[in-house]
Amino acid sequence: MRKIVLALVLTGLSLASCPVFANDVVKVASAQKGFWDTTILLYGERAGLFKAQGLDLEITWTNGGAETEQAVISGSVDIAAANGILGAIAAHAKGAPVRIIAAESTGVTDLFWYARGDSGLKSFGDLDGKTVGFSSPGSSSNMVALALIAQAHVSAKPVATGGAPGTLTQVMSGQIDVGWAVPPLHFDLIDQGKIRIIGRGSDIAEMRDQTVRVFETNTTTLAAHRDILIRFFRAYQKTLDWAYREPEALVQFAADNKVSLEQAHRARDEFYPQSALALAPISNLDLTVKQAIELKRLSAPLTAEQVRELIDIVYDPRTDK
Amino acid sequence: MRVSTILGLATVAAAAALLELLVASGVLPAYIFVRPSAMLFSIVGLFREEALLERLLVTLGATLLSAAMAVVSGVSLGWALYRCRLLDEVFGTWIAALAAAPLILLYPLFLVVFGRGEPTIIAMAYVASLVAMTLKTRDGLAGVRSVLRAVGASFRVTPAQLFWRIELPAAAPAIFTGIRLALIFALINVIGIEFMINDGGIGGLIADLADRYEVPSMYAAILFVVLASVAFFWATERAERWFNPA
Repeated sequence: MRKIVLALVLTGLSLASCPVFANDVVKVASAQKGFWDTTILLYGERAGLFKAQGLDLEITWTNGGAETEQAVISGSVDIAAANGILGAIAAHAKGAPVRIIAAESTGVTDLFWYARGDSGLKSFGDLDGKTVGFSSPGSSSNMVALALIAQAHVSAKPVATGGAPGTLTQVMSGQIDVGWAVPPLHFDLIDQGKIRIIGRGSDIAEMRDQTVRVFETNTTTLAAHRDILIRFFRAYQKTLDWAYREPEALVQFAADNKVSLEQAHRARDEFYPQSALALAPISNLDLTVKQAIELKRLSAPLTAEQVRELIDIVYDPRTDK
Repeated sequence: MRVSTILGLATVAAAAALLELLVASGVLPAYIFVRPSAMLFSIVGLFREEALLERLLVTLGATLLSAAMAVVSGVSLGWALYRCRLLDEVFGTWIAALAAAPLILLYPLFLVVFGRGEPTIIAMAYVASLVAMTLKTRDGLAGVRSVLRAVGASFRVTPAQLFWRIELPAAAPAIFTGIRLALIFALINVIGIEFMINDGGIGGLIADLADRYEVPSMYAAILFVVLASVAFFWATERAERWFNPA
């Protein structure tokens, strides 16, 4: 009897460790949990869309920028999601073993700038001598803030204010005049008239088709697990299609951000068109390289060889049948 | 030059040479570990293009100001705790507990109160340095040997003379340890907050260089921070010797 029990236990243990029954684990570092575009893969994971491709996701949330970049360079994660393209270009140019494998966000439709409702400020044209917030130097909000100021031909002072919640505090306490945010943050204050949107990233014509955030991987993962990456993006594309077709992702988005379903709809439909989250192509790289040189991320334009090496789109939904 | 100094410098040189060899030969990845030679070459660029000197002065200015405030108020508070037993019994343990508290996590609160910039950096560094200065002053004064007070009493010194001529000099070693700790905690917190809010002097520069993936320059900037703390230790040691030649 004892031998039978022992045999059963050993059989069970060996079955449990058998790789035939285990999904492939994909470690992902994603920036800024809570935004629609950065959190959508979590909703897809919850809906089982990645499991259907034989994948289990382990998602680590970061503050973006160098933190996400270092995670993928060191191999701590397989994929860096929603990372600024400037960081990817800078790291690659310095010899880091990273590759851009998909676009994450094209155009800057999500960013908006606001002022206090009682400030009298209605547009960027009113901002002579005023202070304008952005998250941190080199960020997409930094680039857009500078572009909006230049476009309005005003002498406003850009100020690094950090994350969107802290920026609101600085605006409402009068430390800065104009703050930045992404939806659905502060929608309740906008509806109450306490703050007013005075500018949006989509106001900058030249950036409307610029890929600003990307997915990256390291060369080791790309060489050894290309098939897993393809399955990841196949599942991600299905997640995008599902999130814009079915209400479930929006319900979770509203719950996570403690906003109404109506506000969540507004955030997605007005600020995150599905076309902005297309996985390919990497658009307007020339503008990105110009900005990278201006912000000292690059010392010289990329050569054609460097571009070929940097960008390796592993999955293009436009050609996938 | 003393033998210990020569040995110390030789050890640093040997470690740098080993690191240079390991990175140059590819044993250690060059995109994570930096060659000491690349780090040294990047220093010129830091001065020319990144305004390293100005940023160093901003960081040192914030450090010295917050440390000075901590020294003045810490010595006063430490003296008060020493003089009033009730005060020490009520607040002493809480102040000591603050030394272990991760005060840096309060930075969002400080940002709201003081705004995003130098005032927040100085305020947080001051709070972090105050605890060490206060406790070292209290302990130093409490550790003054009773025989010294007895000698003072035999000469009928006034309380002010007792403090300035006997207690303060006797407590000087502990107080100077407190000053050293105050400077170091101030420097650590100034650079840490500058790094976190990506603003200000050396800390903001290190954050910016990390964002731009300028690894050799980033390590060079960190080296300057180490040199600054060495300079602080040397300066406080000299000041202590001047104050208390015995």
